[in-house]
Amino acid sequence: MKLISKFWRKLCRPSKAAVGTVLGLGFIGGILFWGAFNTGMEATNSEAFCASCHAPIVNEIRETIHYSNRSGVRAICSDCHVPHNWADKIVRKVQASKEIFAFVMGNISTEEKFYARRKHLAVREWQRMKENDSQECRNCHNFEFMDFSEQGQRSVKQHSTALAAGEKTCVDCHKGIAHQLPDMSDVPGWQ
Amino acid sequence: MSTLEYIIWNVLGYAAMPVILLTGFIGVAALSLWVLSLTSDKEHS
Repeated sequence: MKLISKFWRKLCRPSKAAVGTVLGLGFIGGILFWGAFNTGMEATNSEAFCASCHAPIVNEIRETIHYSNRSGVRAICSDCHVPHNWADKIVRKVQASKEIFAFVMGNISTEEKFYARRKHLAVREWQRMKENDSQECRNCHNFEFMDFSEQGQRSVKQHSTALAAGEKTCVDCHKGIAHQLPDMSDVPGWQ
Repeated sequence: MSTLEYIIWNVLGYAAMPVILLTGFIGVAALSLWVLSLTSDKEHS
């Protein structure tokens, strides 16, 4: 308490330093704080960070088009699993603090535990993507610029009807595009 | 995720934003005050 009141008194008292010096300290301090914060955020978005818990699933992406393709563009975990806009990203990161608890408790500490929990994790992620209209897919795949002449018959049929009308969203059909699917026996709408 | 869980995490998530900014402000202020106390705002006993 004493420390807080001392800090408050100092904040209220004018400094003997020039205004430019005080402003400069604030400016440089602000840059350093924001730089450190952003670096921390980016570090928790890296593939290495995700793999520290989700190693089996991170390896699976190597077999898919989102990892290796003719154009050399690839997606990493956070491209699809972390919202890109700042506010939603912070909400997701705070929510992820629950996952630290799961890490400490060792919920997926072995491959066996991970595979046992896989469906629960997948269903939760599909639900999240359904609720945000597959925003993370749409960050790269823009419906407006889809060339139906380049798509298969079934894709054209689905994209031009259900997707165009907003009845369905990407993840309703495109499950398991970057990972193997869990047991899908009781997943609604899946045959 | 249940509705209750959704509300809790959203409230915590949005509450985190002002906390982050305020923490940054307090950190920068404390550091600046310390630097100033070493130089121009040095207390003479």
